Amino acid sequence: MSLTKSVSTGRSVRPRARSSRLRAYLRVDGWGLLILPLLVFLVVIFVVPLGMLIAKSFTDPTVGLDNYREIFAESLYLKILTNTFVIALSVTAVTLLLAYPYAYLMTIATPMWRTVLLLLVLVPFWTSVLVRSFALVLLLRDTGVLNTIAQDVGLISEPFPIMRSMKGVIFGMVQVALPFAVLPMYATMRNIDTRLTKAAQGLGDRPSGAFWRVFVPLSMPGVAAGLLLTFIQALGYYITPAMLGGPKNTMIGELIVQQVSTVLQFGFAAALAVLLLGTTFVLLAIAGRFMNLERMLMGRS
Amino acid sequence: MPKNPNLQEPRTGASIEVDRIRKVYGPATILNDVSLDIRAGEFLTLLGASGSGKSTLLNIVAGFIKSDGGDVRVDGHSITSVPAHKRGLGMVFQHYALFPHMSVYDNVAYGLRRHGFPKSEIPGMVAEALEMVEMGHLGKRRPAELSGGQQQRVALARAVVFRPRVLLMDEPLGALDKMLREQLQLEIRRLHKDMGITFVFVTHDQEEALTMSDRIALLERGDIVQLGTPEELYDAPSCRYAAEFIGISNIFAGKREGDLFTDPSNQAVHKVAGGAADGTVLMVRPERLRVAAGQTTPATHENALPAVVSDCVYLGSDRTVHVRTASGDELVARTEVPRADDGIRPGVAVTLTWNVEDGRVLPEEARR
Amino acid sequence: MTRILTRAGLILLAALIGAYILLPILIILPMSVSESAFLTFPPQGFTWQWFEELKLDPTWLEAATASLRVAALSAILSVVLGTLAALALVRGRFPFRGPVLMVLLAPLIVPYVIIGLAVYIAFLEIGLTETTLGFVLVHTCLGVPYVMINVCAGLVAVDRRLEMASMNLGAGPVSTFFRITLPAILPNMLAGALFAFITSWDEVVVAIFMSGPTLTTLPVKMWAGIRVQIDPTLAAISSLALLVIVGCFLIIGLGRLVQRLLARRSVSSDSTGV
Repeated sequence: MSLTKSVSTGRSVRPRARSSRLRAYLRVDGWGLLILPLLVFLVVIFVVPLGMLIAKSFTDPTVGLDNYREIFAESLYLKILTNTFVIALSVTAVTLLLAYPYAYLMTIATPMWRTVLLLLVLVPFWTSVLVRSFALVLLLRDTGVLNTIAQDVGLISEPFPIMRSMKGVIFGMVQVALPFAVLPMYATMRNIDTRLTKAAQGLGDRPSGAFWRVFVPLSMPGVAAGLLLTFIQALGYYITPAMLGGPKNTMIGELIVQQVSTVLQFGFAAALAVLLLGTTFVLLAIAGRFMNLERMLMGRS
Repeated sequence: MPKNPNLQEPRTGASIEVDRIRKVYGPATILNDVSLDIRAGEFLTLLGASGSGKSTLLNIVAGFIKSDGGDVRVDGHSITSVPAHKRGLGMVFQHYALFPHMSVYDNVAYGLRRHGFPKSEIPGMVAEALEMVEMGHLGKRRPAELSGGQQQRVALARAVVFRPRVLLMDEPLGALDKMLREQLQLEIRRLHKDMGITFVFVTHDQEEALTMSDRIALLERGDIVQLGTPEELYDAPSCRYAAEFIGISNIFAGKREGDLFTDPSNQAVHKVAGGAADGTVLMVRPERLRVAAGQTTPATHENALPAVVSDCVYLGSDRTVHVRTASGDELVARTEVPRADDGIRPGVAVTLTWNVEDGRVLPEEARR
Repeated sequence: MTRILTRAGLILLAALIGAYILLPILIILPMSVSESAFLTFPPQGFTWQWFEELKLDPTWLEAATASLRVAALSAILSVVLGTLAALALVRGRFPFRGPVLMVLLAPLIVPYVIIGLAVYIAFLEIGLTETTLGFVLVHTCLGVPYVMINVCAGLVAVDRRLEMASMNLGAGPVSTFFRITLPAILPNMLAGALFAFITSWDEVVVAIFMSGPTLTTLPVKMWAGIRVQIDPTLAAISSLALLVIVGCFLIIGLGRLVQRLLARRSVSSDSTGV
């Protein structure tokens, strides 16, 4: 295969130019064909079932919008939807508060410590969500590690309930969310020219002022990316909220599973799933306007 | 590199005909219907600045880039439609391109294996090639364990082991330091004499080109501006660009009328002979300029120009005198170091003289 | 002064976050050898009995083998499909790049609950639930993006001139790929394979949908156990699951270390030597 393709000499008349440009766009070369196996695979195993899911939401048990109507009719389901948003928002807020200083520390740390910090924040990403949630139960329950230590030390006289409440859920979910927030923030912060804050100080600003007026605004794109990714992820969590939350903190993921496993209402579950999917895609479309996802993930645009 | 008596009878080189090759990238023309005849067995250098198209031309001959027009023929046979891996031309790359996961031996044997040489002959041929570049004892090493110079030799061995009739070299010495580069220049030249095949060498370094080549093709932005021996390019450049690219030159701009050349910026008229009849550039090489303190009237066979010395640089046996004329033109003269002090120092007024025939009139642009 | 305070404050915060992240993992291990049957803290005594109990229950071994089988097969399939796709993305030309890329990366974005439900509904129709094949197919979807990201990064770094040299020496494009390009991206492929393996090994959400009496993976069995009763055997199995993951990362880490050591053996200066 030649490593470069020749460009057709543009001596064409108007109408032929348009068709040749179309042909150039549709050009596939030998290497390009290699995309087909995975593409076909994903379409069959992933896209088609998603399509079936969407279809089912409109056809099971009856054709129409019944499932969707039911979601918005029942106050219970609405409560779960609002719960999901509120919890996801809270998780995002807490994560932001923790991730920003963590990412900032990464930028000023020595290379060795930076690697340590990076590996540390990626740990939840790669350890089983189940093992971690189980460990969190051991940590947070009334007879768990934290409560035992607090009582022994004399901080509290009786167990402080953390599990089965929003606090417990947030405690568990922030762990998983941290890497998604820290990484984009760090990536943006790393590219901020340190001379800019120095310039601000040279012009008379205090270090803290320079930080807030120069560094923070410049880090916003990374913050926005991190927040968006965290929120999108948090909406769809199932294991952690199911394990650590009480009946009042049910999120949409748990509702979907429950509808399928206990009540066998596939169509309704599908409608819930479509709602979640739709929200995810809308948020992603918004994010896509501000970030180049391909470059972020694969190192090239 | 000693000539190896066991080398097979020297194969003759192949001739290469570049016939109106054209290459376009979007709005830019990289090669503008370039034509060139490379003679069998010669050492030809493609010389030019970056963007001149020299590497593109070499890659088109090698088969890695498809041209947009024109033909390339080797010994009369067209190779334009032959894929790169079937062309059988030896090639050496800048940064060597040695396969990092193979030993030196396997690197050199690679081409032999792909071309189907009998297994029994391969060890012998590899050994010969490595001996030729004085790397015979390093067959088991990996490229990462070798120095830059060693890697370049292995790359050479790999390229010539299967006895191609042409060796293409794309700025192979660019990544080496000066001393090593000069050493390898001589060795490549000797390799060429020993093997007798056609070498096509690409470089941007005009000194390198002058040292090594039988002929030089000077390219400027997609056109061959001059094709000739190093002496021709130095003494008789085809145009201003060639004069300025090769060596150092003193340039006067003006108009020629018959035997006279008017130099408006220096308000002088110089006597000229030969060269371009309608040329607008007068060139004199630094070593042809004589410098004398004070004012002197020129003889009939000389031209003269007053100037003031701005700097004197001593380089062992040579002295370079930088002068500035009244109009602000900066010129360079190269003389021997005088036995006695001849009074030439920065700030001194001097007269430059040169023989009429040492001044060459050139056109602004080469005739295509 | 404020600088030192802020610096100290930041370090303290990072340390707290570090403890927060590591704590769960750190308490699993001691709990799994504690004698207490109710997993009280602090752990009392030292015993292997919970691990013994695991050995006695054949269903744990079954689940573990099932997980291993699925993870290994998914990793292999992910590497094959993912590498081909990476080649197409980095070296190839094809239309509709944007939409194609969206499809390829979608498994990373779509919540696993939705993927699980969708695949369950579809596979139910054709009887692929509770089968190794079904598991492998869906877990491959989840693991492939990690392979692609790794291999793309590797491909972008390959020196094209090596391939040019190979072709110049007579190897055709396919031969060049197998002899020159593939060895160069092998480390990336292996890293991707390991990530795909880990993704499948502890994947629980989609597995919950796909599991049943005929075939259950380890995480699902653990999940069911946790829902029913908190049990020290669960701590034991968690430790084992963790060890497998840690093992995978040690392999990746060692691999990178070995690579770096090999590269450092190169002689430094260009001006020395012949």
